[in-house]
Amino acid sequence: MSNAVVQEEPALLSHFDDLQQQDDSTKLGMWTFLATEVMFFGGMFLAYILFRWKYHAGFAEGSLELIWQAGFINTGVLLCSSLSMALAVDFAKLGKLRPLLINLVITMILGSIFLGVKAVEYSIDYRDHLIPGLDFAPHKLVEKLDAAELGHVKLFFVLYFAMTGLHALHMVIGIAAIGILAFMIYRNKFADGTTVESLGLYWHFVDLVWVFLFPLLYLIDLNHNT
Amino acid sequence: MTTHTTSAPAEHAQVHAHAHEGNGHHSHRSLYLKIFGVLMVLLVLTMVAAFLPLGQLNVVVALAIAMIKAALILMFFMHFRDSDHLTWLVGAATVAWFLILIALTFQDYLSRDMITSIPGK
Repeated sequence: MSNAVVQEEPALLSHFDDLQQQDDSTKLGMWTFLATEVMFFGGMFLAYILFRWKYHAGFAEGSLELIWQAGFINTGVLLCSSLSMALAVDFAKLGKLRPLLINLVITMILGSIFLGVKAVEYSIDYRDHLIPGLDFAPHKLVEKLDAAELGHVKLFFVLYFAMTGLHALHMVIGIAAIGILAFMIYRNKFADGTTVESLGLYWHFVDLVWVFLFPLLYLIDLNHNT
Repeated sequence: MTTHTTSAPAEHAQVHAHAHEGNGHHSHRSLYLKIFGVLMVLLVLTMVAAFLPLGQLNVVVALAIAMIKAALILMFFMHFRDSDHLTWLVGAATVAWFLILIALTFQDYLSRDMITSIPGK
Protein backbone atom coordinates (compact mmCIF):
# COMPACT_ATOMS: atom_id res chain seq x y z
CA MET A 1 0.00 0.00 0.00
CA SER A 2 1.38 3.41 -0.92
CA ASN A 3 -0.41 5.05 1.97
CA ALA A 4 2.20 6.88 4.02
CA VAL A 5 0.03 7.16 7.09
CA VAL A 6 0.69 4.25 9.38
CA GLN A 7 -2.33 3.41 11.45
CA GLU A 8 -1.22 3.09 15.04
CA GLU A 9 -4.29 2.02 16.93
CA PRO A 10 -7.63 0.51 16.03
CA ALA A 11 -10.23 3.08 15.12
CA LEU A 12 -13.03 3.41 17.61
CA LEU A 13 -16.26 2.86 15.74
CA SER A 14 -19.02 5.36 16.40
CA HIS A 15 -21.47 2.90 17.93
CA PHE A 16 -19.13 1.98 20.80
CA ASP A 17 -18.39 4.02 23.91
CA ASP A 18 -14.76 3.04 24.12
CA LEU A 19 -12.19 0.58 22.80
CA GLN A 20 -12.69 -1.78 25.71
CA GLN A 21 -16.38 -2.11 24.90
CA GLN A 22 -15.55 -2.49 21.21
CA ASP A 23 -13.02 -5.25 21.92
CA ASP A 24 -15.36 -7.05 24.32
CA SER A 25 -18.13 -6.94 21.71
CA THR A 26 -15.85 -8.40 19.06
CA LYS A 27 -14.83 -11.25 21.35
CA LEU A 28 -18.39 -11.87 22.50
CA GLY A 29 -19.41 -12.13 18.85
CA MET A 30 -16.69 -14.72 18.31
CA TRP A 31 -17.81 -16.71 21.37
CA THR A 32 -21.39 -16.64 20.10
CA PHE A 33 -20.19 -17.94 16.74
CA LEU A 34 -18.30 -20.71 18.55
CA ALA A 35 -21.53 -21.60 20.39
CA THR A 36 -23.17 -22.17 17.00
CA GLU A 37 -20.13 -24.21 15.99
CA VAL A 38 -20.66 -26.44 19.02
CA MET A 39 -24.20 -27.02 17.74
CA PHE A 40 -22.80 -27.71 14.26
CA PHE A 41 -20.39 -30.37 15.51
CA GLY A 42 -22.82 -31.31 18.28
CA GLY A 43 -25.23 -33.02 15.92
CA MET A 44 -22.44 -35.29 14.75
CA PHE A 45 -21.26 -35.99 18.28
CA LEU A 46 -24.85 -36.85 19.17
CA ALA A 47 -25.05 -39.31 16.25
CA TYR A 48 -21.71 -40.75 17.32
CA ILE A 49 -22.74 -41.23 20.96
CA LEU A 50 -26.07 -42.77 19.96
CA PHE A 51 -24.71 -45.26 17.43
CA ARG A 52 -21.66 -46.16 19.45
CA TRP A 53 -24.03 -46.99 22.30
CA LYS A 54 -26.19 -49.14 20.00
CA TYR A 55 -23.47 -50.76 17.89
CA HIS A 56 -20.43 -50.78 20.12
CA ALA A 57 -18.78 -53.86 18.59
CA GLY A 58 -19.00 -52.46 15.07
CA PHE A 59 -17.50 -49.16 16.17
CA ALA A 60 -14.65 -50.98 17.93
CA GLU A 61 -13.92 -52.96 14.74
CA GLY A 62 -14.00 -49.81 12.65
CA SER A 63 -11.74 -47.93 15.03
CA LEU A 64 -9.11 -50.68 14.80
CA GLU A 65 -8.88 -50.06 11.04
CA LEU A 66 -7.61 -46.53 11.70
CA ILE A 67 -3.94 -45.68 12.23
CA TRP A 68 -3.83 -44.44 15.82
CA GLN A 69 -0.21 -43.32 15.39
CA ALA A 70 -1.35 -40.80 12.79
CA GLY A 71 -4.05 -39.51 15.13
CA PHE A 72 -1.53 -39.29 17.96
CA ILE A 73 0.96 -37.31 15.86
CA ASN A 74 -1.79 -35.04 14.60
CA THR A 75 -3.02 -34.32 18.12
CA GLY A 76 0.54 -33.33 19.05
CA VAL A 77 0.84 -31.15 15.94
CA LEU A 78 -2.43 -29.39 16.73
CA LEU A 79 -1.48 -28.77 20.34
CA CYS A 80 1.82 -27.25 19.10
CA SER A 81 -0.15 -25.04 16.73
CA SER A 82 -2.35 -23.93 19.61
CA LEU A 83 0.78 -22.91 21.50
CA SER A 84 2.11 -20.90 18.54
CA MET A 85 -1.32 -19.28 18.14
CA ALA A 86 -1.44 -18.37 21.84
CA LEU A 87 2.05 -16.88 21.52
CA ALA A 88 0.95 -14.96 18.41
CA VAL A 89 -1.92 -13.40 20.38
CA ASP A 90 0.50 -12.56 23.17
CA PHE A 91 2.94 -10.84 20.78
CA ALA A 92 0.06 -9.01 19.09
CA LYS A 93 -0.95 -7.49 22.41
CA LEU A 94 2.66 -6.55 23.11
CA GLY A 95 2.81 -4.90 19.68
CA LYS A 96 5.78 -7.02 18.57
CA LEU A 97 5.09 -7.53 14.88
CA ARG A 98 8.02 -9.74 13.86
CA PRO A 99 7.54 -12.52 16.45
CA LEU A 100 3.78 -12.20 15.88
CA LEU A 101 4.16 -12.88 12.15
CA ILE A 102 6.63 -15.71 12.78
CA ASN A 103 4.18 -17.41 15.13
CA LEU A 104 1.29 -16.98 12.70
CA VAL A 105 3.37 -18.60 9.96
CA ILE A 106 4.39 -21.44 12.31
CA THR A 107 0.70 -21.98 13.11
CA MET A 108 -0.09 -22.17 9.39
CA ILE A 109 2.75 -24.64 8.77
CA LEU A 110 1.63 -26.87 11.66
CA GLY A 111 -1.96 -26.71 10.42
CA SER A 112 -0.75 -27.74 6.96
CA ILE A 113 1.24 -30.65 8.43
CA PHE A 114 -1.95 -31.78 10.15
CA LEU A 115 -3.84 -31.69 6.85
CA GLY A 116 -0.98 -33.50 5.12
CA VAL A 117 -1.08 -36.35 7.62
CA LYS A 118 -4.87 -36.43 7.25
CA ALA A 119 -4.55 -36.62 3.45
CA VAL A 120 -2.16 -39.57 3.73
CA GLU A 121 -4.61 -41.27 6.11
CA TYR A 122 -7.52 -40.71 3.73
CA SER A 123 -5.53 -42.14 0.82
CA ILE A 124 -4.72 -45.25 2.87
CA ASP A 125 -8.41 -45.54 3.79
CA TYR A 126 -9.21 -45.32 0.08
CA ARG A 127 -6.69 -48.05 -0.74
CA ASP A 128 -8.16 -50.28 1.99
CA HIS A 129 -11.72 -49.82 0.70
CA LEU A 130 -12.89 -48.06 3.85
CA ILE A 131 -14.87 -45.24 2.26
CA PRO A 132 -18.66 -45.77 2.51
CA GLY A 133 -20.52 -45.02 -0.72
CA LEU A 134 -17.43 -45.55 -2.82
CA ASP A 135 -16.45 -49.19 -2.39
CA PHE A 136 -16.82 -50.13 1.25
CA ALA A 137 -15.28 -53.61 1.51
CA PRO A 138 -12.44 -53.95 4.03
CA HIS A 139 -10.99 -57.43 3.32
CA LYS A 140 -10.45 -58.61 6.89
CA LEU A 141 -13.88 -57.54 8.08
CA VAL A 142 -15.83 -58.81 5.07
CA GLU A 143 -14.66 -62.37 5.90
CA LYS A 144 -15.22 -62.02 9.64
CA LEU A 145 -18.54 -60.19 9.95
CA ASP A 146 -22.07 -60.71 8.68
CA ALA A 147 -23.90 -58.08 6.63
CA ALA A 148 -25.56 -56.38 9.62
CA GLU A 149 -22.29 -56.13 11.58
CA LEU A 150 -20.53 -54.80 8.51
CA GLY A 151 -23.25 -52.17 8.29
CA HIS A 152 -22.37 -51.01 11.82
CA VAL A 153 -18.71 -50.68 10.85
CA LYS A 154 -19.82 -48.75 7.78
CA LEU A 155 -21.80 -46.40 10.01
CA PHE A 156 -18.64 -45.79 12.05
CA PHE A 157 -16.81 -44.82 8.87
CA VAL A 158 -19.62 -42.52 7.74
CA LEU A 159 -19.24 -40.66 11.04
CA TYR A 160 -15.43 -40.84 10.88
CA PHE A 161 -15.32 -39.17 7.47
CA ALA A 162 -18.07 -36.68 8.28
CA MET A 163 -16.49 -35.58 11.55
CA THR A 164 -12.86 -35.50 10.46
CA GLY A 165 -13.91 -34.00 7.12
CA LEU A 166 -15.83 -31.17 8.75
CA HIS A 167 -12.91 -30.66 11.12
CA ALA A 168 -10.44 -30.59 8.21
CA LEU A 169 -12.64 -28.02 6.45
CA HIS A 170 -12.40 -25.84 9.55
CA MET A 171 -8.61 -26.25 9.45
CA VAL A 172 -8.47 -25.15 5.81
CA ILE A 173 -10.59 -22.07 6.59
CA GLY A 174 -8.46 -21.35 9.66
CA ILE A 175 -5.17 -21.58 7.74
CA ALA A 176 -6.55 -19.33 4.98
CA ALA A 177 -7.83 -16.78 7.53
CA ILE A 178 -4.48 -16.71 9.35
CA GLY A 179 -2.74 -16.25 6.00
CA ILE A 180 -4.92 -13.28 5.11
CA LEU A 181 -4.48 -11.74 8.57
CA ALA A 182 -0.70 -12.26 8.49
CA PHE A 183 -0.52 -10.63 5.05
CA MET A 184 -2.54 -7.63 6.27
CA ILE A 185 -0.35 -7.26 9.34
CA TYR A 186 2.78 -7.49 7.18
CA ARG A 187 1.49 -4.93 4.70
CA ASN A 188 0.03 -2.42 7.16
CA LYS A 189 2.75 -2.85 9.78
CA PHE A 190 -0.02 -2.93 12.31
CA ALA A 191 -1.73 -5.61 14.36
CA ASP A 192 -5.01 -5.24 16.17
CA GLY A 193 -4.71 -7.47 19.21
CA THR A 194 -8.44 -8.16 19.34
CA THR A 195 -8.59 -9.35 15.73
CA VAL A 196 -5.66 -11.70 16.29
CA GLU A 197 -7.25 -12.93 19.52
CA SER A 198 -10.61 -13.59 17.83
CA LEU A 199 -8.94 -15.68 15.16
CA GLY A 200 -7.00 -17.38 17.96
CA LEU A 201 -10.31 -18.30 19.63
CA TYR A 202 -11.42 -19.97 16.39
CA TRP A 203 -8.14 -21.85 16.03
CA HIS A 204 -8.17 -23.10 19.62
CA PHE A 205 -11.78 -24.19 19.19
CA VAL A 206 -10.87 -26.32 16.17
CA ASP A 207 -8.08 -27.81 18.27
CA LEU A 208 -10.61 -28.48 21.06
CA VAL A 209 -12.85 -30.44 18.71
CA TRP A 210 -9.91 -32.62 17.70
CA VAL A 211 -9.01 -33.26 21.35
CA PHE A 212 -12.36 -35.10 21.59
CA LEU A 213 -12.31 -36.63 18.10
CA PHE A 214 -8.95 -38.32 18.66
CA PRO A 215 -9.90 -40.66 21.55
CA LEU A 216 -13.47 -41.14 20.28
CA LEU A 217 -12.42 -42.26 16.79
CA TYR A 218 -8.95 -43.77 17.11
CA LEU A 219 -8.80 -45.22 20.61
CA ILE A 220 -12.05 -47.13 21.06
CA ASP A 221 -10.66 -50.61 21.57
CA LEU A 222 -6.88 -50.85 21.32
CA ASN A 223 -6.89 -53.70 23.88
CA HIS A 224 -9.32 -55.81 21.89
CA ASN A 225 -11.75 -56.02 24.80
CA THR A 226 -14.73 -56.76 22.61
CA MET B 1 -5.33 -8.34 29.93
CA THR B 2 -7.67 -7.77 32.81
CA THR B 3 -11.33 -7.12 32.35
CA HIS B 4 -12.87 -3.81 33.25
CA THR B 5 -16.45 -3.88 34.29
CA THR B 6 -16.73 -0.17 34.90
CA SER B 7 -17.05 2.18 31.98
CA ALA B 8 -15.91 5.76 31.99
CA PRO B 9 -16.03 6.39 28.26
CA ALA B 10 -13.61 9.17 27.41
CA GLU B 11 -10.69 8.51 29.76
CA HIS B 12 -11.05 4.78 29.33
CA ALA B 13 -10.53 5.02 25.60
CA GLN B 14 -7.29 6.88 26.18
CA VAL B 15 -5.99 4.32 28.65
CA HIS B 16 -6.73 1.48 26.29
CA ALA B 17 -5.31 3.21 23.27
CA HIS B 18 -2.01 3.00 25.09
CA ALA B 19 -2.62 -0.54 26.20
CA HIS B 20 -2.90 -1.53 22.56
CA GLU B 21 0.53 -0.15 21.88
CA GLY B 22 1.90 -2.65 24.31
CA ASN B 23 2.27 -0.79 27.59
CA GLY B 24 -0.73 -2.32 29.32
CA HIS B 25 -0.11 -5.95 28.47
CA HIS B 26 2.41 -8.14 30.19
CA SER B 27 3.39 -11.36 28.53
CA HIS B 28 1.86 -14.73 29.42
CA ARG B 29 4.54 -16.62 27.52
CA SER B 30 5.86 -18.70 30.41
CA LEU B 31 2.32 -19.63 31.45
CA TYR B 32 1.51 -20.79 27.89
CA LEU B 33 4.65 -22.91 27.78
CA LYS B 34 3.71 -24.57 31.09
CA ILE B 35 0.17 -25.27 29.89
CA PHE B 36 1.58 -26.67 26.65
CA GLY B 37 3.86 -28.98 28.67
CA VAL B 38 0.90 -30.25 30.69
CA LEU B 39 -1.11 -30.79 27.47
CA MET B 40 1.71 -32.89 26.01
CA VAL B 41 1.92 -34.99 29.18
CA LEU B 42 -1.86 -35.50 29.02
CA LEU B 43 -1.57 -36.55 25.36
CA VAL B 44 0.95 -39.27 26.29
CA LEU B 45 -1.29 -40.22 29.21
CA THR B 46 -4.21 -40.62 26.77
CA MET B 47 -2.20 -43.15 24.78
CA VAL B 48 -1.02 -45.04 27.86
CA ALA B 49 -4.59 -45.19 29.20
CA ALA B 50 -5.88 -46.43 25.83
CA PHE B 51 -3.64 -49.50 26.07
CA LEU B 52 -4.55 -50.32 29.68
CA PRO B 53 -7.08 -53.15 29.94
CA LEU B 54 -9.80 -51.18 31.71
CA GLY B 55 -12.77 -52.57 29.81
CA GLN B 56 -15.74 -50.22 29.99
CA LEU B 57 -13.68 -47.66 31.88
CA ASN B 58 -11.37 -46.97 28.91
CA VAL B 59 -13.80 -44.54 27.34
CA VAL B 60 -14.45 -42.85 30.69
CA VAL B 61 -10.73 -42.29 31.30
CA ALA B 62 -10.17 -41.14 27.71
CA LEU B 63 -13.00 -38.60 27.92
CA ALA B 64 -11.91 -37.43 31.37
CA ILE B 65 -8.42 -36.68 30.06
CA ALA B 66 -9.90 -35.02 26.96
CA MET B 67 -12.03 -32.79 29.19
CA ILE B 68 -9.01 -31.76 31.26
CA LYS B 69 -7.15 -30.92 28.03
CA ALA B 70 -10.17 -29.00 26.75
CA ALA B 71 -10.49 -27.10 30.03
CA LEU B 72 -6.82 -26.07 29.93
CA ILE B 73 -7.10 -24.83 26.32
CA LEU B 74 -10.38 -23.06 27.09
CA MET B 75 -9.28 -21.39 30.31
CA PHE B 76 -5.70 -20.42 29.43
CA PHE B 77 -5.21 -20.33 25.64
CA MET B 78 -8.70 -18.93 25.02
CA HIS B 79 -8.61 -16.71 28.14
CA PHE B 80 -12.05 -17.86 29.18
CA ARG B 81 -11.23 -17.45 32.86
CA ASP B 82 -10.50 -13.75 32.25
CA SER B 83 -13.67 -13.23 30.24
CA ASP B 84 -16.59 -11.08 31.34
CA HIS B 85 -19.91 -12.41 32.60
CA LEU B 86 -21.60 -12.20 29.20
CA THR B 87 -19.02 -14.56 27.75
CA TRP B 88 -19.56 -16.97 30.64
CA LEU B 89 -23.26 -16.82 29.89
CA VAL B 90 -22.60 -17.76 26.24
CA GLY B 91 -20.39 -20.62 27.45
CA ALA B 92 -23.03 -21.89 29.86
CA ALA B 93 -25.73 -21.63 27.19
CA THR B 94 -23.56 -23.64 24.80
CA VAL B 95 -23.21 -26.47 27.30
CA ALA B 96 -26.92 -26.31 28.12
CA TRP B 97 -27.97 -26.50 24.45
CA PHE B 98 -25.69 -29.45 23.80
CA LEU B 99 -27.04 -31.29 26.86
CA ILE B 100 -30.63 -30.63 25.72
CA LEU B 101 -29.72 -32.11 22.33
CA ILE B 102 -28.33 -35.25 23.97
CA ALA B 103 -31.00 -35.58 26.65
CA LEU B 104 -34.03 -35.18 24.39
CA THR B 105 -32.68 -37.64 21.84
CA PHE B 106 -31.84 -40.24 24.46
CA GLN B 107 -35.15 -39.95 26.26
CA ASP B 108 -36.60 -41.20 22.97
CA TYR B 109 -34.13 -44.01 22.27
CA LEU B 110 -33.94 -45.19 25.89
CA SER B 111 -37.72 -45.37 26.28
CA ARG B 112 -38.54 -47.12 23.00
CA ASP B 113 -38.48 -50.61 24.49
CA MET B 114 -40.43 -49.57 27.58
CA ILE B 115 -43.74 -49.42 25.78
CA THR B 116 -44.60 -52.95 24.70
CA SER B 117 -48.19 -52.47 23.67
CA ILE B 118 -49.65 -49.26 22.36
CA PRO B 119 -53.44 -49.16 22.89
CA GLY B 120 -55.40 -48.73 19.69
CA LYS B 121 -52.54 -49.78 17.47
